[in-house]
Amino acid sequence: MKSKIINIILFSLVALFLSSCEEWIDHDLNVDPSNPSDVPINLILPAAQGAIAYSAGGELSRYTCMWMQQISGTESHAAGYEKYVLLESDMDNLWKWYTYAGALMDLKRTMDIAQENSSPHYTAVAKTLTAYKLGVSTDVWNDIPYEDAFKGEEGQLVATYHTQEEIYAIINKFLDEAIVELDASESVFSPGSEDLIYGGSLTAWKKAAYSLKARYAIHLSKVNGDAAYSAALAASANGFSENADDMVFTFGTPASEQSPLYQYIEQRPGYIGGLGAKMIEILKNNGDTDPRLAVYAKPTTDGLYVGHPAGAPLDEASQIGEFFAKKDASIVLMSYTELKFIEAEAHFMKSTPDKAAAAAAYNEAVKASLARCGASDVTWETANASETEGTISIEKIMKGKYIATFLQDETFVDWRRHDNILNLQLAAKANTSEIPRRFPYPTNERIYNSANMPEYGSITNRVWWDK
Amino acid sequence: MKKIALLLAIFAIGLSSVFAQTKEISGTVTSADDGSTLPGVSVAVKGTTLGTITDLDGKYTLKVPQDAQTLVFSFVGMETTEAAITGDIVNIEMASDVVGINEVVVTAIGIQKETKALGYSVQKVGGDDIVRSNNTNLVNSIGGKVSGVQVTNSSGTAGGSSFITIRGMASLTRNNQPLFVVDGIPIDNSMNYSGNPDDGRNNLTDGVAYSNRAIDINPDDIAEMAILKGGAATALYGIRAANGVVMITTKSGQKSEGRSIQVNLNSTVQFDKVNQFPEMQYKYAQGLGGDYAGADGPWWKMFSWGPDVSTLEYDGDTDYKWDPRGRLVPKGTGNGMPAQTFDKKDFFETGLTVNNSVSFSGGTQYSSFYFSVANSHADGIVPENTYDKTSFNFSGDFDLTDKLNIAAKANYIHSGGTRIQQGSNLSGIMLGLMRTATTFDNAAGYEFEDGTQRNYRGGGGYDNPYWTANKSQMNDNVDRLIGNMSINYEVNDNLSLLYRIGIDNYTDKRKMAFAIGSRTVPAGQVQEDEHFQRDINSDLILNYNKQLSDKLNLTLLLGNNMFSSYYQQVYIQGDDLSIPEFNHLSNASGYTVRESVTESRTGAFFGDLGLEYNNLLFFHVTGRQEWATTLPEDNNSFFYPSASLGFVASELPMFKDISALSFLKLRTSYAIIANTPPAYATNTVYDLAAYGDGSTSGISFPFGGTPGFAVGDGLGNTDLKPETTKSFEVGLDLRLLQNRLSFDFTYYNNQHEDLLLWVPLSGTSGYTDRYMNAGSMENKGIELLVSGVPIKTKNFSWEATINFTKNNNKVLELAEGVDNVGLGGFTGSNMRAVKGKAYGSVYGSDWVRNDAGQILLDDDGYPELSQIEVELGSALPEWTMGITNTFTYKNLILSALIDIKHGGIMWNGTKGVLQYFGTHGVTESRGEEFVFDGVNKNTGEKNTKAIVLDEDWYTDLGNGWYGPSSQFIEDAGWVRLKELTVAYKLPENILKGTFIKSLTLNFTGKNLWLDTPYTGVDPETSLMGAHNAQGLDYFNMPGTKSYVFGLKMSF
Repeated sequence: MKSKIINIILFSLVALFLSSCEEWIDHDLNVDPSNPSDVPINLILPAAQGAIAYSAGGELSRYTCMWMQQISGTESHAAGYEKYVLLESDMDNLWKWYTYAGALMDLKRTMDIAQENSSPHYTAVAKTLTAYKLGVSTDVWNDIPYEDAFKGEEGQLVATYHTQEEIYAIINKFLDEAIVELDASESVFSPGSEDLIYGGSLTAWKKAAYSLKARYAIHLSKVNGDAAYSAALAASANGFSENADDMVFTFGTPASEQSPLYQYIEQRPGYIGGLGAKMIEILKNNGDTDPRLAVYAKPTTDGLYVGHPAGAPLDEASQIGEFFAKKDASIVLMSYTELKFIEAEAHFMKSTPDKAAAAAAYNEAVKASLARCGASDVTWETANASETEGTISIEKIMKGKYIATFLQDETFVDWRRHDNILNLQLAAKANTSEIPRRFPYPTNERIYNSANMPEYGSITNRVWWDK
Repeated sequence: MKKIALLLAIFAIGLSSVFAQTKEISGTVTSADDGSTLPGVSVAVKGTTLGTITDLDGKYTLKVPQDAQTLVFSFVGMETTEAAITGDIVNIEMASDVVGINEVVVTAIGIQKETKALGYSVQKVGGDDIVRSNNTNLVNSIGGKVSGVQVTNSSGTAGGSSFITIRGMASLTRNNQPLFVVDGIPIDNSMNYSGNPDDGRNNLTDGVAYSNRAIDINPDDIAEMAILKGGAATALYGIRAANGVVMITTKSGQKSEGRSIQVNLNSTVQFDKVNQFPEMQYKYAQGLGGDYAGADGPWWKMFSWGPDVSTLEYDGDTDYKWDPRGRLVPKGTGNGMPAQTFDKKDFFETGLTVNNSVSFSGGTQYSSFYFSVANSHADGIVPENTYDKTSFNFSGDFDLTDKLNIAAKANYIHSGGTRIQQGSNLSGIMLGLMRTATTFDNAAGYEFEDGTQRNYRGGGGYDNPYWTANKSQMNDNVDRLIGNMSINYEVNDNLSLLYRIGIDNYTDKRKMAFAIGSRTVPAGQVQEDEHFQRDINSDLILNYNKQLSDKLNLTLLLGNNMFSSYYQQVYIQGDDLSIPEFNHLSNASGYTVRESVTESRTGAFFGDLGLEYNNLLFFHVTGRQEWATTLPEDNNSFFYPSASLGFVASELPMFKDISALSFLKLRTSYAIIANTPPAYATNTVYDLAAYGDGSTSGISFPFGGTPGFAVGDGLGNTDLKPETTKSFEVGLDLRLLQNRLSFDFTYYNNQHEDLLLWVPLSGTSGYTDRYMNAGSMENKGIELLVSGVPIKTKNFSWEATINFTKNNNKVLELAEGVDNVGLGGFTGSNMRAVKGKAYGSVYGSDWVRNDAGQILLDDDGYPELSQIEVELGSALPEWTMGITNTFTYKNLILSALIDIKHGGIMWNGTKGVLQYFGTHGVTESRGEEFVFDGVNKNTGEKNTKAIVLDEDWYTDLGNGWYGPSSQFIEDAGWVRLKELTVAYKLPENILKGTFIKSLTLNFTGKNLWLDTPYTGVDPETSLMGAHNAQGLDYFNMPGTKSYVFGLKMSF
């Protein structure tokens, strides 16, 4: 009798385990409760814009503008950047988290979802931003992947590279398509207030697409010659018409929204020692002191504007001005002033130059640059932004653009296209024998995509358009 | 799964129908050595689990089945003795067992086995050893004592973590630490990081020293720890034991009639001092280029490249607020008070730890209990750093009938303390302290009346370490309950059934503050970070034991295990504080809120079939079929088997007559064990968008009220399978001359396959990582334990034990097309797993070299920095050794543990950066010439050009910021006197007539002596705490030497 009871108890116990075990291994538990598996496109677009803006005002700006001696890297790693110590491992963040598994992937996803949902307005915005991001990337890395990329979910974990020439074709194709799609009469979803650049203004996006076309046309000046200039001029006609059109991303004052430059100065004090000696020298000698000097730079303790010579031992230099270094600064992706400089250069450089038009565009570009940073000065402009057919020169245009594109990676493109104009000197104690003309590829590619990554030799080697 | 369950059920029922009558046996157990009665001896009916324990007078009473033949008496330190049941009274004498062939150890699932019966290596650490080591963190009590085990104590911080591995690193990126099991219940030993989860990859080097959660166990409660090392030893435990198991058995009361309650009291006081500190220079003053600059001087002169201190004096200017003595001026132009420098070591205090614990235990014939209360308070060597722990532990055991026993245990711990920011950020205390200019006095105040900060850089730069200690604190508050209940039913003499359920539940509430004006977060920040963990473990175990013939015995164990784990982190960060010193979320004007949940379950059936033949052969096979929710649904289970054989050769007739040979056993085992992927590795998700860049904390969404999600970094993998280890082990246990000399040798070969790891992907895939079965690795090694008793007389004995471990690790394969995988660290110096090399290779930047490896130098003798990172060495030691000598004279014991680690490198990142600041001792000889050993890059001829090691050099390529990290790779081996103990037990005749039963006074010194070529802090250090990436020192906290005074009493 007793053993029977025990048998029953034992059997029930085991049966209990048996039945509950099936339910115990519940695979619904393995669905990540902390992160969504689907989100609408109006949540992805702002994320992609954030990645683009933070890297444009962060690493891209720091490395290129230190090399271009607009700012000076004086402490720890930054002192190395200034002397061209830029390692493959320094590239991983920018390549992985900002470019490929960052903005470009998110924009690709945006395009795909928008396409499925018949939303040409959305695809257009994603294409314009993709064109911008591909442009800034190829200009520093030369050959890069695109069409073959983003196939992780299909099991393809690496991508082949396009030549830079092919990338430029993709940029133009995207911009052309965007221009058409922005005019579409119907779009299921259209960007709205979540668009952190233009707040959903399709007109503004169209101007931006044209302006970028002008930029990427003139980048090819060394390889395309006249065709580059005429393409730039044709596009710029439909581009930005005032500073208010500028393609900018504005950061905020809360700790999680502050501009990358503000954060770098705040969290890595001393890394940027101040403005570069070259920048101060050009500003000081632009007319009787460029009014932008006091906006770009803060006076030293002695009340002077002093730049730090690249690679020189530490010494006091003027710090970057509030307008650029404040918490809620705007990062410029493309501006009206840059477009006017492009026009000026194209008019001046084409085989049948139109110097009057070049002068006019130059004067407008300079005035726009002063106005956009609140440094308008009628007296100075009368004296210095009043070039004529007879006085305008390519040196003035490119120096003017160097000033106007302060802290933008665009200065590194322009220097390579006109490297004799600025007459930049190799930094003292440089780690390379010349000023570099490209970035290294990241360690990430060397290790995980070694079959496809082209060898680039040295960072002093040139990209395709930099003949 | 159903089939196995059914089999189990049928088996259980089939065996349960045998029943028998009982009779009562009693007797007295005495010592053969001196005739004294022996209390606490375990008395069992052979071949059953029936048993009792002798009372204070060595007496026992036991109900046994009518047909019971033999009683087995066992006691620690005595040879297990068998006695035939010839009548109602069985009295026996027990002889002492010198080394303990017959000792019993707890093996997997809590099964007690005789050491001699094991086919694999198990080493134990006794409770006395643990108590004598006096470590707050019990993990540290294992270090140096057990072969095959490496323990790294991450810092000298009160409450800091320790990292433990057994037989090398088994997994590439998964947890490499063993499972901790307390009284059969697995407990959590996580080290939970704090900080904004968005910082993800960068936050490992942020923050404070966290605790690994095994620290919560009260060392005084531990009766014994057994270290299960190989696959065969752990196979029954399943996935969580893939890296070995630390089996902890806590103390319990004894069942016996008429015994009074035993009270034990243990009190210790410990003093800690910094044991090794980098050389600093105190010759040159604050400044640059040989010019003096004060804290009010321009920030770019805030180095220690100023003039010779002996040429300076104070000016006594009281308007100069940065130093009460005034500014420094050239001699003869001030007030004549010579310039001073300030020793960096003065910042550290003498740490003080006070431990008190009291336990009560006792029992009746049918029940027993153990109750303890312990409290520990520690003040660290860093000002304001404290750690407190209070634990209550209760266990009770009750025989409801002579067959049915219930037991329960509850351990409540409240722990936590005040931890000081020590990460590699502007507030890290070591950064601020070590970079401080030689002539600046941090101790002269850290805050001015207006609330601004006083530091050597005029309020900028790095936080004054006193500011950090006082104003950037993290408080953690852990409430933890570990409990279990079990029911054991003796169905009959041969069969018993045990059900045990346990829970490990804790909340860890943390509050971190950065005061307004802190350099890391000048606007001020508060963080509320809550971690909640709940593990539930259920075991149903059936034990069957049958004497098949007079020589052959069979044991069978069948079981079911269910385990669930739930973890939640809620993180709230408030930024931009308004009111100083008001560290409350309501004081913030911007918030970041994050939540993360991880949940998983496993279920398993397991079995262990054992056959013992005539004390000669011991054979076991085990199997475990396990299911896990973290695996893909259509491939969610796996089986792992093991087999082991122990062959006691000394039982053979040919050896029996050799009197010198006391014991000889050969053992071998083979097992396949497995480990599963973490939760959600099969998922591809969107992440809340956040962008930082390693230099800045970045932005995160929602941005200005606009939410943003990005395609997640991790690419889910639905083809995952468990990673497996094929573990082979062979060993020899040889004891000679009545156990006076013994050797225990083990060779093992662990082949780890299908290793699970986050494989970094080319960003061009659209993702940054994917969890994959992508790699194989091997650990081969030997463990040798030699112990001997060179001298043993009536009053004096000398025991020596040497344990030696050599493990060779090699990464065999990684993912297709991938040759190395990053484990952690910095750009320019990081840890990687590299194909063909040992796990944990340190990679970093180096000089440009030719194919022959020679440094290429320019015509001036200067080298050039290479763009590409190269391997700089391995952080894993070549071998380790622990030597313990114990001398006993009457009641006095002297014991010394010498710990040797040979080989393994460390990146001395601290030195690299301090060379830049001009505070490192090396910079005292600034201006010296140095000729690089290399060749001219143009001519190929040997370089003879000297360069000058001066400020220009050290602030350029001679520094650790961007100068090659190969300059700062050092040998991190050591020889240390890890523990030195003197204990004196008062003779019993002195205590006779008092209420005190025994009283022991002891002194333990830890790390009293250290010899190492490493020039930084104590090389037993880890930047990331209990983390796989070891071998990096970047402003790590110094280690400590300790002096512990203790008093142990029992009543």
